[in-house]
Order: sequence, then C-alpha cells, then structure tokens
Amino acid sequence: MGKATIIPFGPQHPVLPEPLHLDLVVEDEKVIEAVPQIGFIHRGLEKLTETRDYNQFIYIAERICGICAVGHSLGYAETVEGLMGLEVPKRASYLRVILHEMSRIHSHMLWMGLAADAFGFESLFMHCWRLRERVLDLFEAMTGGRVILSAVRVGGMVRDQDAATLAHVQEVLEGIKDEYHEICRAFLNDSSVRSRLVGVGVIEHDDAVNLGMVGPFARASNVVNDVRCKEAGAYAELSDFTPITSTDCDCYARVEVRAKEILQSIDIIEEMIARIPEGPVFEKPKGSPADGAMACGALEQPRGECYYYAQGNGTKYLQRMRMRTPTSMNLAGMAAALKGCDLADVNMIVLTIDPCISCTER
Amino acid sequence: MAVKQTYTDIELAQLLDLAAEKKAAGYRCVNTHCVNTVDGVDIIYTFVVDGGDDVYENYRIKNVPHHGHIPSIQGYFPGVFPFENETQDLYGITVDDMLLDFHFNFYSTDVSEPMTVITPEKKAAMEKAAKIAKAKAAKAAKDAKAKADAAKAAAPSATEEKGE
Repeated sequence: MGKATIIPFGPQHPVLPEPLHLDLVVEDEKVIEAVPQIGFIHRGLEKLTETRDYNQFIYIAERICGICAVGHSLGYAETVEGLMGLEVPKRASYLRVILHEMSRIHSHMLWMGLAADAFGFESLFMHCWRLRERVLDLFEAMTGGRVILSAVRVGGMVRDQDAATLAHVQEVLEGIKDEYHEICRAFLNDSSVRSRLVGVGVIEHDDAVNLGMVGPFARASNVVNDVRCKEAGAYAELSDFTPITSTDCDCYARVEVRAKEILQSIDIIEEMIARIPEGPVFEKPKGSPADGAMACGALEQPRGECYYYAQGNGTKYLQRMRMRTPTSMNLAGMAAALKGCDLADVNMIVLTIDPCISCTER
Repeated sequence: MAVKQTYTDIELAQLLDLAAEKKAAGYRCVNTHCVNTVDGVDIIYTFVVDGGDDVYENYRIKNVPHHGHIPSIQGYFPGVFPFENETQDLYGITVDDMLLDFHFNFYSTDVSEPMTVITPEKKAAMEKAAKIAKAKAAKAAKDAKAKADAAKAAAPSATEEKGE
C-alpha cells in the first residue's frame, strides 16, 4: 500500500466553470476520500429579500444562475403566488412550461458540450454548443434576452407569445431534433466516449437514495425522482410523462439520461404548443403576503429538484425566501462517487453531477 | 411548482427521533433552513417520500436562541451537510456532532452571522406594517363599538313601542 497524499483540486481548474474545491486523499493514483468545499462566491442573495419587495426580487432570483435563470424566476414566482393564494391564468402556466423546458434543453446541451470537451472530443463539444445557440436565438425572439429573460413575473408572464412565434419555436426545435439525433449517436455509441465513461464513478441505487441525490444524477442510478410527476400545473395535463432513468449507475448513464431528456423536453414543448389555451397571461397580485403565511414549492430544474420556501410578514418584503438548489443535495453523492476512482477520472466524475456552484451558494 | 405541503411545530428535543422515524419510513430530507425572528431563530426541516403521496412535510422548531445549539441529523441524512454548515455560518447556531463540520468556515462572509442582522429597510417596513395593523384594529374596534351603541339605542325604542 502506498503513502496517502492530499491533492488539492480546484477551486480554479480547467474542467470547472465555477469554483469548487476538493481535497483528494490519494493512494497509488486511487482516490480514497474526497472532501468538497465551496464558499468562494457566496453573495447573500437570500438576504436581499429584505431590501427588495416581492415584485422586485424576481429579478434577483433569476440572476442566481445564468443557466437556470428561467427556473429560478419560475420557482420564486410560483412560491410567492402560493403564499398569496394567487391563481395564474392557464395560458401563462403553459408558456412558463415551454420556456422552462427550452431552458432544460440549452442547459443539457451546454453540459454535454462541456462533457465532450472534458473527455477530449472537441468536435462534439462544438456541435453541442452550435445547437444550443439556436435555442438562445429562440429565447431572444420570444423575450429579447438570451440568458436572463425577465419573462416571468408574480401573477403570470410579462408578455404573451403570438401563434407565429410559437410555430417558429416548433419549427426550429424540429430542425434541432434531426441534427441532435446524430450528436446523440456519437455520445451513446462512440467507442472512445464509452471507454471514458462506462463503469466510471458508479453510485448504486441504494447509495443514491441514502445520500438524497436528485435530478439526472439520481435518475442515472435508477431513482425515480422527478418533480414534474408531482405537479398540479400544466405538467399534470401532459398526455404522458415518465421520468427517464437508467440502471447502469455510472458516468455513461448520466450522459444517457441527459441526452434522452433533451428529446423528451422537445416533445413536451410540442405538446404544450399544440394544446395552449387562449386567454390572458397575467393576473395582478393584490396586497402583501400575510404575516406568518408560509408556502413552499419545488421545481425540476435541469440539474434536479429545487426547493423554494417563502414566509410573509404582512409587508411587501418577505420575511424569508429560501432556495435550496439541486447541486447542494448532490455534493455528498459526488464525494461518494469519487471514492475509489482513478485520479484521472476525477474531472469526469465531478462534471457528471453537472455542478452549479453559483446556484448552490447564492 | 405547487406541491402538496404540511407544516407542523415540534420541540427541539423531538428532532433526532423525528429524523430517525423519517429515515426508517424511507423519507429523504429535502432541505433545512432558518428564519430569523426577534425572539430567536426558527429552524425548518422538510421531508418527502418519493413515489408515495408526495407531500412535502415541513417541521418547524420555533425560537432556538441566538448562539444556541442544535443536534446534527447528518447521521441519518448525510446530504444535509451544506445546510447545517450554512446554519452555523449565517445564523450563528452551533450544530453539534456533524459528520462534516467546517467549523464556521463554510462560507466566506464579511459580516459574521449576516442573516441575523435586521436591516434598516426591513425594520422600517415592519414598524410601518405594525402601525397599519394597529390602526386597522383600532378602526375595527371603533366600528364595532358604534354598531353596538346603535343597537343599544334602538333597543329601548322597541320596548317603548311594546309598552304603548
């Protein structure tokens, strides 16, 4: 047995777009323990609820993270609407789902590009990001923004989308689908990709449950956990929705789950566009959240379940707004997946949880 | 999105038993967080069992004193280590017996226990809301008194009518 050495990994590392530090205890190139540490970019955004009223705070909420901007504004708005007993027009809830699923597509494509870059498949990385640009173009056409959209507000949507725009969205997504199938084939069948991913960073189903993992990271270990199944809103009106899971439990399974979720999201958007009802997209909120009123909400973000909690104090400012992001639930799982792996596989395993440190630290 | 939810107040002494019970029943701990109040810190634990009735069960421990101690539930739910360390850093509550303890150094903050600081904006808004609530209550009491007086004034005339 070799001598144990501690190798620091991050917070600045080529594979990490955001600062995450790991103390890797290594013996003979095998990782025997990994201790994660964050805390480099804590911005105290939850504290800002004290200086921004509940209508203003949505612009802070969507700046928690650039990739999950739509999700955070949506989760925040829906929790405050629950707090105030406000019912959103049906058309608005359909439009919200359309934007949220488009956000999932661009997030997963961004991640797949990063994963391809990490295992050295540069052309795959470029193709993923090329397709992602088309989704961002759609965001721009619909809302005027490419990353921060400011499309959702408490009570509904900022603006409606006409039939021509929705038809354009459908047409572009159909085009993306055709090209994406080719990229997907490379991800799932290429021998060089499989050699880097199959059997790497395994987390068995029971461990995933025990560690409370969420999102594609958990579903790749066959944990059937997807908030979209639990919702009473527009998702409940889908003709069919089954979470995508895998029994392989390794890095390859995590790629597979995300790759298939992109196609599932396109199907959801197409169904929503086909069934979207006519009507208003905004219901003006009246008054302030009652003193002591509490509400919680959950949303399936691209990285997994995000939990929101709001408490009123009788003023237009919230007493508390809490946003528990998926990565914070997956850090323990990541440390477990790193145990026993080769040092060379560390970057691949860290990447397959799709860590979002900005979200986690807020 | 709107999810089914419940809220229950519990005592601090019940926390570990609750965690053990939830773990045995197959729940996962979704979140733990704190709410700063004038009397202390409220700590809320949220559990859900996937594939069951999907109810998010929130358990609140009220008024844990500032700089007080609470037990860790990492032994049952290891995934909560970021939230318990956050409780220490942002609220100054010591969480005892954590498996992964960053000893108040999880987040790098300029101000210690920043979430317990009540900002002037928040204080002003709360005072204003209290004044409005007080004025509303006084107006309601005044209206009720006027109504009672009117009813009282109407009552003797009815008696008089009977007497006639």
